Amino acid sequence: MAGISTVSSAPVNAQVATKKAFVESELQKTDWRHSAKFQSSLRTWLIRIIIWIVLIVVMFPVVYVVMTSFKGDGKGLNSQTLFPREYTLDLYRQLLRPGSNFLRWVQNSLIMGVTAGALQVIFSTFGGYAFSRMKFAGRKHGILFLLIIQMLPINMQAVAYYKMLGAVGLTNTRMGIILIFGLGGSALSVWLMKNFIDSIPRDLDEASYLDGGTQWTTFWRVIFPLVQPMLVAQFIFGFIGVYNEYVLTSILIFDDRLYPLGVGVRTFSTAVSTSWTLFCAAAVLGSVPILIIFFAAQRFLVEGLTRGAVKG
Amino acid sequence: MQQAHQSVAGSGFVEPPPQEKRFTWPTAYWYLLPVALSALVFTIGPFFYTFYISFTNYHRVFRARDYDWVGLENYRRALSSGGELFPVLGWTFAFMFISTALNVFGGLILALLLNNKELHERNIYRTLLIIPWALPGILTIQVWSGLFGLSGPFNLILENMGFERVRWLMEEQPARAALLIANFWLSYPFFMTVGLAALQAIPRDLYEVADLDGAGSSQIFRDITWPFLIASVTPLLITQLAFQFNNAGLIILLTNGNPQAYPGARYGVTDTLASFSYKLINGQGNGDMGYAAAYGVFTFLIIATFTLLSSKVTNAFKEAN
Repeated sequence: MAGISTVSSAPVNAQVATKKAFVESELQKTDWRHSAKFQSSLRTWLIRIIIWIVLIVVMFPVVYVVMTSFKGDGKGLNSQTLFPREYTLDLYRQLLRPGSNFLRWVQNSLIMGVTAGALQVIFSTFGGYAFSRMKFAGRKHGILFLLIIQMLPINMQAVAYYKMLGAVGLTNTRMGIILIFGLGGSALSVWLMKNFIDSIPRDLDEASYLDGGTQWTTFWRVIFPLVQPMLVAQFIFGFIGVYNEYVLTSILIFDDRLYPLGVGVRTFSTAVSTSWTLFCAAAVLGSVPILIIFFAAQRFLVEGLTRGAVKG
Repeated sequence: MQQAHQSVAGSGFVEPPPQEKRFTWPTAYWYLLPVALSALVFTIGPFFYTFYISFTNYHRVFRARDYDWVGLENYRRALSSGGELFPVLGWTFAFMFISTALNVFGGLILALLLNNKELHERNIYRTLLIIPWALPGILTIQVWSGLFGLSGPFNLILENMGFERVRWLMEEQPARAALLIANFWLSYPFFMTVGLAALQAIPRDLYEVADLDGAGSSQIFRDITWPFLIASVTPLLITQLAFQFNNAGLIILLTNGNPQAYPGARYGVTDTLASFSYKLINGQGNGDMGYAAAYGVFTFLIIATFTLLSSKVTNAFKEAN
């Protein structure tokens, strides 16, 4: 910040510089190569070319996987060309054949992701409302406590989860994963929800009470409809959290028919190259919905996160 | 963005105004009950249970039921000369710092390149460059492990250009490089987005004043643009370091910690503390849960120290301001 003050407190230098700039610009009028416009468009083109190179490198894995997924069964990994000689949908047909493992994994992902996401949203809405609008003993320590337990690494708990779920017969079940992801990670979402509700004007609550509303109707009719952007954001985060998780899921589930998609397709990607093309098709099918959700819900996600984080 | 994260980290919260006193305390606890119960069962309980298991010789295959209390035996093994803790920690810290530095600076540089008004089509570039962030990492990491395969596309390209194949995932240095490259691809879009938001939030007047005062473009960059960019990512550094410290998924799915450190070793040269703990639980021929729990406790101690230190540093900054 110190630099700014040195810049602005140099009026003498400024005069000299403007004069110099004027003289220079007059001189440059004679030579188009030195004109400001040409210089800046040269710079822009240089930046453009750098970005093109970056784009080619960054997009290569994506293009490669999409192209491989159309190559059909066979020499995917060893294929010498990026683009297939013949485009075929054979691999997609193979994946989407009724009763295939892939469809089972899609189903598992949906069941686990949607339920865990919904649980997380419900719990954090109640908790966040209490922390935002009510006074109770232990409120201050409760918030600090939430912030601390949110920092515990989830893979530290893996051994304990394995043993606890085993004790109640929930290892190797979808229910076990739903409970752990739906209820185990709620500290951060309570915190974000609390801040989001803080940003809703209290006058609205007051108006509701003046109209004779009770605690519950105020929560249900006034606050709940207003937190919907945050609900959507948290539901998506919850869903993707389950969809994208490998470490805990692969410890707690060992029947490949119960795997979610991401863990399931690992059985393709570690096998020899014949399954590699199949993996690519599965990766495309598994990525497209998430890509669509990401770009469609970008606004919700940004609003949920920024309004949830800044105090209103 | 900058403000957002500072207030999360600062935890300074607002007391509700006095009119809220109309509620008696039991109502609040009803609303809190679900969260409190789930935190107790799924976070606090397992936390203490991990400590307990770390003092036993519980093994998921050999001693699943009749395991014994062994005191500090697991900790002694981890810390002894034959233990894996110290060799694994070396690469863990290297990976954490190098990855964070690469991802943050790479993202910021791209943000600077894109923040050019004369680049009229920059929104297209931005959308394309964000794609790695929008794709599910669990799938893209597996794609990267195929790209780095011995006869994968990278080696085919190298061969066509007249170079030798690289044994990417089978030798120490290439495997480590592969992890850093794939991790960069996964993480730069986030910092690029944060950087772009920060660049757009810099007050225009600053530039105008600097321009009037005759500051050169390099001086404007050094004294205005760069400080603002750095201020926007500083609050995110701790989170990013902690994330990379715990980033077991990347390592398990890309290299699985390989290549082995020495014949017969249980850890590989690309194993971090997090991925090694996973392998102790779920790796081939493992299942040594007591020992794995001790590594969980070490992870916790390191994260806790790190968090305490960083909050001290943040507070020191606040007092200085």
